[in-house]
Amino acid sequence: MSEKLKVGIFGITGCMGCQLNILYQKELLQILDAIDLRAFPVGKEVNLENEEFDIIFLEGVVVNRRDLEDLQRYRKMTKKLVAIGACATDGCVPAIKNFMNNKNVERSVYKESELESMHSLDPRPIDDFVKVDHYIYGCPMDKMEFLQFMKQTLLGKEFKVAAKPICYECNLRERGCLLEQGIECMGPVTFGNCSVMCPLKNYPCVGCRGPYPDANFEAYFSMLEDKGVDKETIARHMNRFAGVKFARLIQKEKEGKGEEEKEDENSCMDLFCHVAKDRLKKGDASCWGGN
Amino acid sequence: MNRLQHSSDGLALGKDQMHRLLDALKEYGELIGPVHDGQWLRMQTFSKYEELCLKGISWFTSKEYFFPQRQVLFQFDGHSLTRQEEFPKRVLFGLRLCDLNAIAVNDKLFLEQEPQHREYKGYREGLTLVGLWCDEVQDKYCFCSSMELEHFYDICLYDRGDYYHIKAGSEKGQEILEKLQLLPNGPYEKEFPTGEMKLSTKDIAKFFDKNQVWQKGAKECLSCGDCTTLCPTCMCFDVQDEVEVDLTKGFRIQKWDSCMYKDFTLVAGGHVYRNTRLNRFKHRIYHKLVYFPQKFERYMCTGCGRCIRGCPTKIDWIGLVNEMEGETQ
Repeated sequence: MSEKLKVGIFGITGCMGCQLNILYQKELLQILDAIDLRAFPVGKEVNLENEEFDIIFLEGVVVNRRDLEDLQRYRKMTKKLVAIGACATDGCVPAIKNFMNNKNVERSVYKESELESMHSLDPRPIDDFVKVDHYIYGCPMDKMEFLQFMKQTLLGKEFKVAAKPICYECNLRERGCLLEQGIECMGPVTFGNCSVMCPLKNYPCVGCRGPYPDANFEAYFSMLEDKGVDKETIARHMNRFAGVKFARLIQKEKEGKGEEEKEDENSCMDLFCHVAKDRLKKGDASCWGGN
Repeated sequence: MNRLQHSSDGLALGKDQMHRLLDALKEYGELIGPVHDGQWLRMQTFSKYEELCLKGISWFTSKEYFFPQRQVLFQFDGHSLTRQEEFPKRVLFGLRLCDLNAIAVNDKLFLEQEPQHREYKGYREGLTLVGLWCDEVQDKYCFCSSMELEHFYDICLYDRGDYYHIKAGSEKGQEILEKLQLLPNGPYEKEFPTGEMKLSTKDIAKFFDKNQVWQKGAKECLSCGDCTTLCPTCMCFDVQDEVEVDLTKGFRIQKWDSCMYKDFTLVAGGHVYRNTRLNRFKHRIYHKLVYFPQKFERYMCTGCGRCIRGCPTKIDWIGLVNEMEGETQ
């Protein structure tokens, strides 16, 4: 390659864990050799901004107006925007707030006297506001997947991960099915390619990598309900890391079904569909309007 | 494998003498057999007879040992290109007839037609197959009695209480047994056990349009691919290139894939051939019972039942076929 890729790594609201994960890469020095890292405020002192980038990796979730302004600025600065980590790709833990009453959440943190001037927003993944070219999932971002991205990009290929659920890798590693052992695992509905470190340590998948696009939610929910898991528990699991994306996908699956196949109003599907319909419309959150 | 004409004559070996057989087998490679880890039965390395669990059918298959999930097809380094030349020698011990037949199925696909699969051949030639006859049905999901299985092994063990009746099924098996100098045990034949699960017909081509019934299965399908990764005859793979960051070294690898995923039939231009869950669900079963026999004159499925046992929602496709067959009567 004649000229090295101009790369920037930035973050908006988040824990910086994903950016740190880049520093923890075993192949970090090789990667730094192969690219021109122009900006990485978490990792280096001199950072160039306001210029053209080939790739910007962005961590974090949009929770306030400053995040949104930063996000839009980064988008304009780069040819490719890559969302790294569950905050940027799916909203992660902050986005649980989308499923709660805003006033109650505010009350749990702020004094009654402060509530007057309080106007909290619904946290959203970055693709609610700008075009995202690639996603690197996980909480924190999966190191292997980041490396795969770098290798593919350096080769001049378009980065693509075949959509497979967590179950695929559990089987490859001969990790017997946790669902078979009666443990509620989100493997069948979660996007794979993470080397299944949680199931390998007997901890069920909690869906930090967001939805497996081809998941069959209706079958998954009814399987869990048959195993005696109640709806609220299922909803809590689904909301934890990628509630926004899960709810939208479930809404889509529901819309795709014919009238005769519609579930009863109290099903798990509906629990999410209402939220998706009322609050999770893309770029149309009521709290983001005005001003 | 140079197979022998099937005969019921065999030799006797006491269970307390099994170390003699295992010692002889060790010369043919690393011993791999069913070992229970408290939760799952899987095929793994062992050294003593006492470590084995010879009851039940292993949750995972032994296909990893002759068709690795990640197989390097070639490796490049600067300007040189190398391929795997050395293949391990292994003894698969205690395989059930379903898993043994699965190897026969894969032989048809990878060895008995041109071009042969080079790496499969390498692993396969290093294998010694020691079977264990099922005295009774091992699990409620077994339906092997419906699948017309054949005697396919180097050596087969029949449990006779405190001793095994041992038969050779190939020249290699005969050679191993000759070294042991065992006492002849005369003829012994045990009928193949039949469980509750039975496939009423294997001619399912006529049901191709009965989508209403197939849909019942597809509706339950999570598209998780557990059925294909646990199946001993599912051999579909993807080929990918892996490189080092400095782009000078790399591998071309063959990785297990599954027809249950949409991306499996994704082609250049973005078209997906089997886009609906129904099409994917049906395709796997039709491949086992219709498409493969058309080409190779034997059923691909060997009735081990892992696709139902390992399915998170336990989709009973046997039941669906039986239901459709029942309707035609």
